[in-house]
Amino acid sequence: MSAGPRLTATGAAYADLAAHVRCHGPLPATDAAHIIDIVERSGLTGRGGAAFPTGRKLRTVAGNARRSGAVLIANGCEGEPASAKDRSMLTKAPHLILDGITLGARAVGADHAYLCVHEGQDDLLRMLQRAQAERRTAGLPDVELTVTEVPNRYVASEESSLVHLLNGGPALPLSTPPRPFERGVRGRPTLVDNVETLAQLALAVRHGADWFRSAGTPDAPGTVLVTLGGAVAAPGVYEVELGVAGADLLAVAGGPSEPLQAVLAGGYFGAWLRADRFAAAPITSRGLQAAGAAMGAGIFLALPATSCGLAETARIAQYLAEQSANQCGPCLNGLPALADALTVLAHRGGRKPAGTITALSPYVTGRGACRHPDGAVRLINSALTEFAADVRTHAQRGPCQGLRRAPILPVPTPERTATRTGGRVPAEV
Amino acid sequence: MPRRQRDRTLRVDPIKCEGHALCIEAFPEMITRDPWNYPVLNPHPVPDHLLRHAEHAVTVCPVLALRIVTSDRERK
Ligand SMILES: Cc1cc2nc3c(=O)[nH]c(=O)nc-3n(C[C@H](O)[C@H](O)[C@H](O)COP(=O)(O)O)c2cc1C
Ligand code: SF4
Ligand code: SF4
Repeated sequence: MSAGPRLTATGAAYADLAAHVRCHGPLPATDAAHIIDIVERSGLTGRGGAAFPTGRKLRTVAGNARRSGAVLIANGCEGEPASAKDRSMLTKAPHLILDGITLGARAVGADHAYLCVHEGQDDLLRMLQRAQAERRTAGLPDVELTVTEVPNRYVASEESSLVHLLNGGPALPLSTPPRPFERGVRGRPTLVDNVETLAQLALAVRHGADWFRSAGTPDAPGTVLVTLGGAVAAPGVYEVELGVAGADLLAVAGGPSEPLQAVLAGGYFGAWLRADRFAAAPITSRGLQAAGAAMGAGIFLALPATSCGLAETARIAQYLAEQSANQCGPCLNGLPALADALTVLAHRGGRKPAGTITALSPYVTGRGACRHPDGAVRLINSALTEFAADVRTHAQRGPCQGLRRAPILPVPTPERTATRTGGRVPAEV
Repeated sequence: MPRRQRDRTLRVDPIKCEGHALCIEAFPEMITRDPWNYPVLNPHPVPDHLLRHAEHAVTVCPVLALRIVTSDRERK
């Protein structure tokens, strides 16, 4: 990219405080009004999935918190199984995130912040302790910060789940309203932001809105961290300018490693795009939405031409069904029914399953307390439209050659999740 | 002077709702059944002449999952 990397500018495997300050400059001594103003003008949007304008969220929480004070949650859970960018940022540039936490807390009037990460990452916890110790030694005016471990489940990192957990409950979504920005941790207005969003904020506040907008496009300014995976030559985490074309995005990871049929844009909260449509789509939230997909948390997975897109999606759908918090009827009943129908279509074929999916989908979308089912339904339906020719083949002639190939999309603990049905194709849908 | 109009809309808490479907029997005009016996609410404001039915549906829900939310809007 022309402007060069920003978030990853130090190039270090672990940028200690001295290296961080040498590269980015010291923590700005800016006040709340100024921070909110810069972030609003920068056009920064959330990098956790929904691409919500960060400045507007800051202003709302600050307004709601005028009397009570606020709380900040930095979401570093990275619940998307294929994503690696948050852990990469936390490991390489923790001080940029910690700067963002302090500046974000200052903006909304929070005297306490939580950095949430998935449990079982002892190396990451030790590294964060080291970074915090460096800051204490340097006497930085940081907000009080608690690093909190969160259960390793997909919906545990949804924002109301984090609030629930920090209020002493289980990490399960809460009914809204109230949304966290209205009433969250200890009843206070709570700012929940992805850790990359906070790191971007730390740079915007340092260098100003015009600098921030000098990368990206007018309606999608800045850079973004992406995780490129599947059939690309060099899978990994990369920082790119928003607005590049899909084809150029894949080129960043060395391009396709074999002929592609489609790309899953936005991770398991996103949608499939056929390879030609993806190549032409601009990598921005708006551009991907117009194509029927999503930016999500910046995950792009390339599917080889010889894979079965239906079988790949069925595995993910089973995983997502298994990850339902089982609190809401339409989610706990609907996701398994949809996943089973897609599994039957992929592994056995027939005309019925696609009809079942089309009939049930409207009863699932928008009917849970959180948006988990909405994402799963979008992904499943994108498989039916983007792999329409395969749907016809499976309906008429049964499963295709693609099933011979091992699945390439990552699903955690396959012994449990790919097999909610015990590894068998469900008999009936 | 625009007149104020009070809208009353049905809302269900999907976590509390246990799919007893009692509300569906009580107010079929605006609550229908999904494939798993959970209620699908008509998203439009409840017309005045059906308000008593809506209030009845709210009272039959054993887990207090169904509510009527009120909002004001300007009427031209
Ligand atoms: C099921 C589910 C899981 C989520 N998991 C994450 C996550 O792991 N990390 C994250 O940053 N946001 C996650 N989100 C989005 C958060 O709810 C929230 O919108 C986000 O952290 C806000 O940060 P941002 O405005 O900086 O994007 C999830 C949302 C849903 C519905
Ligand atoms: S919609 Fe699904 S995942 Fe979300 S709270 Fe309800 S049951 Fe849980
Ligand atoms: S009566 Fe209450 S619990 Fe039963 S379906 Fe209606 S809202 Fe849900």
